[in-house]
Amino acid sequence: MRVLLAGATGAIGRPLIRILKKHGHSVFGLVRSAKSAESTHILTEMGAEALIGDALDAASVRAAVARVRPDAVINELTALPQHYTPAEMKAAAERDTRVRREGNVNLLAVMRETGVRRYVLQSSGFWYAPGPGLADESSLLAVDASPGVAPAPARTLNSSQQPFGYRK
Amino acid sequence: MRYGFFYGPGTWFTNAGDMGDQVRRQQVPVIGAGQGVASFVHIKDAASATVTALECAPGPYNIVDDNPSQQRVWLHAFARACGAPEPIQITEQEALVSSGADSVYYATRLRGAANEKARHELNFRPRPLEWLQSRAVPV
Repeated sequence: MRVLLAGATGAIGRPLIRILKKHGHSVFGLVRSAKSAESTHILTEMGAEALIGDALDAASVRAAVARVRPDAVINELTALPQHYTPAEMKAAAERDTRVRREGNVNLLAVMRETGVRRYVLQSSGFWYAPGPGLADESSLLAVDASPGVAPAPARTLNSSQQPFGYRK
Repeated sequence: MRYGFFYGPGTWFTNAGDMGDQVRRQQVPVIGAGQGVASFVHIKDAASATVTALECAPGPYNIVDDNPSQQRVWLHAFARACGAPEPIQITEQEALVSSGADSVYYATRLRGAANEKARHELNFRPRPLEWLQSRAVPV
């Protein structure tokens, strides 16, 4: 399968490339031009091809998809900080939300235009509303959690209602 | 992919990573009763499940391990595995001032997730949460 990966050099992007390659997939990692040299080097070392493009820029996503013609898109984009402290999380929150929301919208739009049928999106299994026992995928999301947390489950709810939809 | 908190190479939650450093400096407290339940997943297990998801039925999947645990439990175990002193414990009121509402939420209100769907549909078999299983240092 030809797989376009957004978030290719992140914490999950790198192990993901290794496993995709092991399964015989061709991997194309989206790389922002501002950090392209370093990222391109990382991807090339792992046997993936670097594609210049920014998920926040719909035109560049369109160009990348047109060139690669992927069978599937995996979106692992986040803008989480280096250090997991309340201060750094707060500082990164706005860009993290923007990258996830706009990246998702741009990638899905281009996929619709070009007929790419498979999309895998990063979300979290810890945004379920408080309740007894463990949550399954149909459990309510914590849309009324604390102010810094609540936007994430709200976004999850929206992205689940994107054009592809899904069967329960 | 509704992933649990990532741990393992390149994440916050490793001995050499950011959380390892923070627990060794006793900067991560148990808040209140630490009853919030966190679900973790090893980064490589999360990546494997994601590759399988290229060819599965569409829909959301909880990609979490089999060891959801309360904050006071996993934090003590993680600190031990990192060679850190016991975490301190503070009240919710103190944490609201020092760390903010989100930290209190994560430590006291979080709900763990079940992975039956991923086990069944993706043949997902996550490794046990490393630092709960032994005194070994998580890689």
